[in-house]
Amino acid sequence: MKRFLRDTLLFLLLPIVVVLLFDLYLRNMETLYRAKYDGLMKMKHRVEVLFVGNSHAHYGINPLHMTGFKAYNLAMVSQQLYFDKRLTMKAIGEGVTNLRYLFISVDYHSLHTSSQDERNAWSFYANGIRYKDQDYTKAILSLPLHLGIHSPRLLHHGAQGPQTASEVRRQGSTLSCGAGSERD
Amino acid sequence: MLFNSLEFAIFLPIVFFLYWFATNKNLRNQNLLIVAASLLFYGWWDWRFLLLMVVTITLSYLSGLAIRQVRSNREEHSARRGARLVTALNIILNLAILGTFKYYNFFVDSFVDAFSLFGRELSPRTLQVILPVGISFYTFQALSYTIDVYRRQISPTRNLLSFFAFVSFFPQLVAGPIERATNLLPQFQRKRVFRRDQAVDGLRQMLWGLFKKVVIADNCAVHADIIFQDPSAMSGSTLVLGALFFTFQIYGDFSGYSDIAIGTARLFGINLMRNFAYPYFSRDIAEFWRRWHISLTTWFRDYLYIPLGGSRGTLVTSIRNTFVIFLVSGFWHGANWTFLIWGALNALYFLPLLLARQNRKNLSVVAQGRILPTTRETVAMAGTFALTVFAWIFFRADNLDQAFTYIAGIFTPSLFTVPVFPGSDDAITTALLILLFLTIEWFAREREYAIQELGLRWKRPLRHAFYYALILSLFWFGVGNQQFIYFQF
Repeated sequence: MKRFLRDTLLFLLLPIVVVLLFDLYLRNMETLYRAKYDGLMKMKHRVEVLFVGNSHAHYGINPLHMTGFKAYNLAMVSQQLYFDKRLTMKAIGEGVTNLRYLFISVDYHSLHTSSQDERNAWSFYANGIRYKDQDYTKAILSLPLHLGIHSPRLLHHGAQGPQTASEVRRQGSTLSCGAGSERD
Repeated sequence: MLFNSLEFAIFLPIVFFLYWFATNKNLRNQNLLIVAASLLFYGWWDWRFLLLMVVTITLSYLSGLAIRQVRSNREEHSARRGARLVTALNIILNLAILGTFKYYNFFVDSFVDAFSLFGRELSPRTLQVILPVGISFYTFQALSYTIDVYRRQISPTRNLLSFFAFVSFFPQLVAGPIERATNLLPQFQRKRVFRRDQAVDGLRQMLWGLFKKVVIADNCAVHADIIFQDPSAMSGSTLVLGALFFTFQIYGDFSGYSDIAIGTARLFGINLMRNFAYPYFSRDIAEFWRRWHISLTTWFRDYLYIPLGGSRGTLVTSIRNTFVIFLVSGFWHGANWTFLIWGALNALYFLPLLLARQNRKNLSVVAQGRILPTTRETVAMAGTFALTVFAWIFFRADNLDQAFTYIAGIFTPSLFTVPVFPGSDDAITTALLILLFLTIEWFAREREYAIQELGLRWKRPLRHAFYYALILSLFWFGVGNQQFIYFQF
């Protein structure tokens, strides 16, 4: 019995360590989800208008064009209403206290939460928002390579403006703009 | 509780440790743990199901004691009559429970349909109940005990706990193998000894079972579900592909469950009977049925076919018995005409072999001792496989209309086009996985399960790398927790 237990534990040790390391890696991975949220937190006391929703808002709305209000675009590709709400509540809870208007872009995709496993996993790793009791074990164990099928799309999607996490970090302004010329 | 769930991954080690470390010194406690764990495992779906199972087990237990009682107190003739009466009563009661929950609505609906043909509209009450998981499995297992006691193949047990453990043993409770009291009950009546080789073998078989379920069956299910959803919109070639995917789905799903069940039982020092023996490598339909769902086939053989006269007697009797066993087998699977047609179709396939007295021609493993089969064997296997695939269409279809639409859709000019359906790009990956799976199975067809000896002579790092690859594939190709098909039966 002792030998069986020892061998079994040793056998399981490697996958457990690998899982933990990858989980750690995913939690600290630079993604657009994380970059956008971090950007919002940097100017959390000033934001009065918040855009959430899906790709329509993500690509189509440039907060720089908002005049008279300090606006921020927190929308993401295929982001559903469930996450829009949770993200907004989280932002308000973490200091976005001057919020006056919230715009949500919606389409038929906005209710398709159950079909968004991998995107939801990314959201979970970046913002800690879990869809109900969704299990992300698969995302953890499928290695970043598996998630990576989607990650380039998430990070480099779109032809205009800064769309990668590093661009958001570097330029910031397109996404996190204030009234007129104010930039972060 | 599903085998392929996180709950089970937590449940199993806890029960394992309690079994071998906390209760191993006392057989009674060990059986008590098995019963408690089994009730928890089963009640995880719905605790109300437990009541039905407890009634079934108690009925069979009491019938065993009653048979003992009538035999001990009466002269031979009346003892025989009394035992027969008790056995019949137990069979009737158990089948009544099964019939009520599984077949009542089917019979009511069929009567309504029949009367409507004559212009009479009936509106009877149907039951609004959920079919308890695995009811056919544990009912048949409990029935086999009473019949074996009646036939004096086993002595009736007084030990209620070991009897409960025998029927409710969680690895095989909801989808078999349907065990016999002669094999399983004595194992709960004697002390179990931990054997490392048995436990390691069990883990290996569990891993292979999970691979079959999660990687093969669940991925095939994705495509089969899409194609079967709207057969009228699919080309003939796509429909053939859909039937093929279902063929591997049902095999991976059910044999995968059996492998996990047998493997899990081995961890507890219990040996369950084999349930599948590479059925898709069969050379005729008789061989297929000796290799597919062995525990049910042999159950019907021993408790239905042989009592009816089997293949003894006239040719007409043999044909009648063959049809009875296949129709009952079809009906056992579910209250739907599609299952009856599936059973009848298999009986028709069987008939030429019976008439030519060739049904016991292929008893050994195909191409034994050789790597490749002969041309004759290949043709025979392909033919049997094609017949099986065709029959599975009825098994999978929701109703006869859908089945006939499906079949009619196959035999159109579009049969010779490239299959196209939503998600067909992913189907290539699934097809490659099936090919890999079949290759491994082919080379292991003389073993009890495919990876029983695969890599045993390899060096440990290589062997472990192979197991890790299998584990990784579960996550890589897994499509979420899917129910096992046979739970509904």
